[in-house]
Amino acid sequence: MAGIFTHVRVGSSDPAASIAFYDATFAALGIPGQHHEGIHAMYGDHGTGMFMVGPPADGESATCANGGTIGLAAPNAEAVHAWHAAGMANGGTDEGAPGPRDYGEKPMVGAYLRDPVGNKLCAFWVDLGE
Amino acid sequence: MYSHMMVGSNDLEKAKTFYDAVFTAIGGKPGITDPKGRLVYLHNGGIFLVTKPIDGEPACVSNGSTIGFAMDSPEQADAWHAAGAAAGGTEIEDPPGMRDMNGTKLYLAYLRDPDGHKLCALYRPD
Repeated sequence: MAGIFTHVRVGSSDPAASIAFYDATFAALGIPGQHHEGIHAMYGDHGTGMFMVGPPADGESATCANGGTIGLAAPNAEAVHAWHAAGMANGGTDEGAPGPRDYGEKPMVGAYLRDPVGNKLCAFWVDLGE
Repeated sequence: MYSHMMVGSNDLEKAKTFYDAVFTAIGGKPGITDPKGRLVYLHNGGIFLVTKPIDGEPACVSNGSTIGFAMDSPEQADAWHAAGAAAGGTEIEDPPGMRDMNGTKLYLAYLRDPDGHKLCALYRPD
């Protein structure tokens, strides 16, 4: 198990729109996914971490979490750009264009999006000099 | 897959009490407050942050969302759950225990944090 996060799930009241968004954005990061019953989707695996999207279990509408961000690790700077472009082309909303970010000692490239529901996401590549 | 995770809070003091308890219960350290006033937890190579929303609006909970935390053992998941429940968290779902998820056995424990975010502690026996 890598890191501290096993999985993240987000709710969606429009699974088709959310799945189109996450199919495109996870493909840009090189992370495969699979669908279940047309309304649930799952990306990654339990070795690297998993991401799930589907309708809320309580039958109520999905809502987005103000103040929250799900941070995704990108394999390189190009993937950050591809992730943002894929999201914008599939129902996402721009929250920060791809580019260098000065958040620490290491050079990084990041981008921000909201998914079709409004959940805030970012993708970051950190240049560790490897 | 994940670089970090951030949740919004309307009461960082309550959030610190809760998250300090759950992270120290699993061998982590209390959170530090960064220059932007955010709580930062560094644990097992991962980064978890709690912040007031930067748009000035109240924090709210994402219905249907869950954040899963990796546990080393069922006992650690129990300790996480007990510590969080005693520090402002709310016990939800079934009590901590082994679940059979379509043939995969997982030990799961669920809490909501003081702001209502749904969290899960997960131990996967291999």
